[in-house]
Amino acid sequence: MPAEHELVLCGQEGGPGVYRQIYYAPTLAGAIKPGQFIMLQLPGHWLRRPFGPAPLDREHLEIFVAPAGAATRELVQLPMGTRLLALGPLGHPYPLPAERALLLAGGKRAGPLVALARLLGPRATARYLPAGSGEECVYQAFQATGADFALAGASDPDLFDPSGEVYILAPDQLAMQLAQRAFGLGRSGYAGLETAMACGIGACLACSLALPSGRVRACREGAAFPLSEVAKWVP
Amino acid sequence: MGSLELEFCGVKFKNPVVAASGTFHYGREYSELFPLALLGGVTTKGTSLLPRAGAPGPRVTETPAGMLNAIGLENPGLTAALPELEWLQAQGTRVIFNAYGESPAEFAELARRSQPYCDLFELNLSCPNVAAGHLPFASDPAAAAAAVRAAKDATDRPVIAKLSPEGPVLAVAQSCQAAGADGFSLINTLRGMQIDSTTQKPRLGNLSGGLSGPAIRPLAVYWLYQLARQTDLPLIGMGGVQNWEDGLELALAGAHLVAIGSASFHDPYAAPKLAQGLADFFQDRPDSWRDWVGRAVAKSS
Repeated sequence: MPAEHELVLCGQEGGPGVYRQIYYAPTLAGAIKPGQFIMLQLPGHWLRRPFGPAPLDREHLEIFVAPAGAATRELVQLPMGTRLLALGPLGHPYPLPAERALLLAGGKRAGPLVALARLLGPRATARYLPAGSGEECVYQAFQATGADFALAGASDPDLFDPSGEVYILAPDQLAMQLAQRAFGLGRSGYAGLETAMACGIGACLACSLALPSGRVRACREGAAFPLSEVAKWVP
Repeated sequence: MGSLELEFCGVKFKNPVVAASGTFHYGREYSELFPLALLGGVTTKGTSLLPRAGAPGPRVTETPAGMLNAIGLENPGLTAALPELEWLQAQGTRVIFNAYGESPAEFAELARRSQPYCDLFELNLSCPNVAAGHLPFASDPAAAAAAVRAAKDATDRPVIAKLSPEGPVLAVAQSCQAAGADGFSLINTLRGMQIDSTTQKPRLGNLSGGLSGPAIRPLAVYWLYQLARQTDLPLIGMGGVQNWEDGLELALAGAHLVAIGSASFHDPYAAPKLAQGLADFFQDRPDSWRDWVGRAVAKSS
């Protein structure tokens, strides 16, 4: 069940495109499963922000922060030792693959797929589709998982050659494009969709989406949905 | 020890803290975080007769000291909501049913059918009045009164009119009182807008939305104070309440009950913390919450 946890910022590297932050989170790190997320309270901000963390061990987790608005720009400026509150774990863990998995992370998104790669190790093929520069900390995180890792482009003809269930994490347009290709190739798997959230638990309906099979709350019924749904989604 | 118990429209509340409509759904999700019995009451998601799909996304965006939302009243419709209300009734907290109607007849049917499942009926006067070109009921004292009268005729539950700070608040309240309203809740959100300088487009899919959060608390205090001078009917105060000190401020301005709204997004435990904070405050005091209600209000003569 979700609960409030205290996180202590204890490390940061990378940037400026994506930063990797490490938090001491002894009550949360062991409870988060790949695909789940947290709602992080940021000093001076009324709304919490969702992040998909990757546990490093039972006491530490990492999140990947791409500075975009004021909240994320401030987040990567916080001094070491800063204590933050986070509600979690939220959402459903990824259903695990029967055998192998192909993980596609794009556009500065990484955390939940790094977590999955860490769990699957050599059973995972991970591809990162960079959105810009200064994202090396993401590659390094994937490389350290033991997965077969390489950089890739969204239109690479061999992108879907590796076997296994497909897991996609990217901004909506890219996620849909990748989901459509994967679905067209007869692949199964899951893709996350991005929507602004407020509560993170399904009460506010901010992240309600009309998927082909019906209305869902990204935070509660997701955060990832079957490829078949995302491929046919009309935003 | 000063008690937090009070009666509101003849309904006994264990404490004056209620969840505000639209921030708490039907309570089930928050019940996974804390027992709802810690709260005096829960106000449901605004519910219409038929399901509503709501507004396109993005539906929320942060503002300085608050947020804008345009959920578009997405809800499952009354028939699907009734089992949720029945579940909520079993949680040991009072149920305030928030109704979304587009005509007095719709409010009447919502009031009639929700009666067995709620303790109070809250009528959202910010709903568009179809008969008046979709202008909100809250903009027209006569239309608001017609909605209240229709609900009063249809239910034995106390009828609470939820007021918009954008309407002629005091005139609407006066006509609602004359039509039989048993109490008021205020303030609803205020319309606002944000434009993203990167995309050069509005940040909300609906273009504009309702402003809530600490930014609007002074307006809540102002309108509570003004209305408390005008009426002896009980008031539910809301607007930017975050903690027990805010709750006390609204009580001083005339609020009998205080509602936590978007503060639950900032801190999902804000509502039970408010109740606990008030319990701690009155623990060693000779007076009680009820003594504080309206204490700062200079009655007009």
